[in-house]
Amino acid sequence: MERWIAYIDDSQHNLEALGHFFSQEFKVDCYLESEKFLKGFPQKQYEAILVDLHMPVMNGFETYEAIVQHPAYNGCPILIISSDDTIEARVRSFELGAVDFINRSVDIDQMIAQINAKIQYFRKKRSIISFGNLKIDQTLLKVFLNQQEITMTFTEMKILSNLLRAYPEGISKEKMIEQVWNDSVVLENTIYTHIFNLNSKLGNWLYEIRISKTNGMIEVVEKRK
Amino acid sequence: MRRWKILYFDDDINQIEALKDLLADRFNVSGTDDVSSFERYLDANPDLILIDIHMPLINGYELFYKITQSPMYNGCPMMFISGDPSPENRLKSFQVGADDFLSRDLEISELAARIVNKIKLHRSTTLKITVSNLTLDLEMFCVYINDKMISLTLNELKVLGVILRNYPKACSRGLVMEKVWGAEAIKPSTVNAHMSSLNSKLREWSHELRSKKDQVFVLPKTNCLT
Repeated sequence: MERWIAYIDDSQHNLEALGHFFSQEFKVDCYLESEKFLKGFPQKQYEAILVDLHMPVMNGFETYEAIVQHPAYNGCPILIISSDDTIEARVRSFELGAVDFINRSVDIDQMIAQINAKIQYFRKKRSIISFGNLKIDQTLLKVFLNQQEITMTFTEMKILSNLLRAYPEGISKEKMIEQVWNDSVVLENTIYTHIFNLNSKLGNWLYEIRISKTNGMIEVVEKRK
Repeated sequence: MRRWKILYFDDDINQIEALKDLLADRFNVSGTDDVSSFERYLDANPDLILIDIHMPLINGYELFYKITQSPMYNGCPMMFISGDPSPENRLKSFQVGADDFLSRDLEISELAARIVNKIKLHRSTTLKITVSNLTLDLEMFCVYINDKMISLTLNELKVLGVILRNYPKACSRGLVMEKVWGAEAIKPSTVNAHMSSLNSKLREWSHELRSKKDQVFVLPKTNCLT
């Protein structure tokens, strides 16, 4: 699987040298300016973002905050990277909420190990599920399509998150009734109606919910062009 | 105001006392060298668990594993602490799944910042939040009080989630409005209406939601006024 990371640094030299090393492990997008990164952001699902601390226009801390507040941010780990390994810089990074501080002068294997550890850690902790152009924030119970919030009913929200959690497997109707309606009596048609409504609300989604003709499972599949 | 609770396991009681003093103004540190009866201490519902790596009876990694398997464990972040910050120790710590590795020679400001960082990260991402006898489970879309399930509406879940995520700090009504309703124009009284319906559904909770001016608090129930 391709793993993309983004690396923002105002020094062309650093970008080239470290970008080259990182590319042994990841696919790397390098950016000389934070502003440019913030504009191009929506295009890719990064696994981690590295931000240089000392930059002239927007420094690392400002960049960090802009990323966190960006609607397209997928909740991936953001690491501050710098050769300024002072106690002030480290404390400020952790206070802001950056997941780690990388000293640019340690050896490259250690840096990669540090980044990998954070990526794995965040996979387990992840509370924002991105699914193509759809994003669910489970901590706020909200759904976004192309960065616009979609209003969901409680039942729709439950159906959708159960389906995404089970993906790539489907869910049987019986299981869906158990999970969403706590086993109360529900007509099959009710499920179909909810799925129909979900699909029409999420008309611009790259995926859709279907009921398999072969085994009757409810599943999420990529839309056919 | 409640301070963050840290539970610290170390075979050297002096280390525990030393850390207690160093962090006294920001954290409530309790600890024990009686590692074999660790389960008793998990009762305290800590915000973070700190484990020494080199201990004679059970080493830190083993203890870590045992804690994760315990039904008493509340899912809070866990970190290792050691006087030996070798790459092996660091690597192993992250491999077993710890949230961080702290070297004993860290300056106290960084130590504190790292601890708070992980507690806050956990609070902002976790889908299960426990306050006393109540657990909010956002993955299952419901609330448990004393292990009994209580159904809430979607908006009630959202409101409770925002408030509990801020606990023990108070949170402003504006924040609740912004996080739950976003751009929708709603009146502040809508928040109050949700709070009172929550309070009546969560009657068996040891705490309740209260508002004063523009702040929302989670407070232990007092019998004297009712």
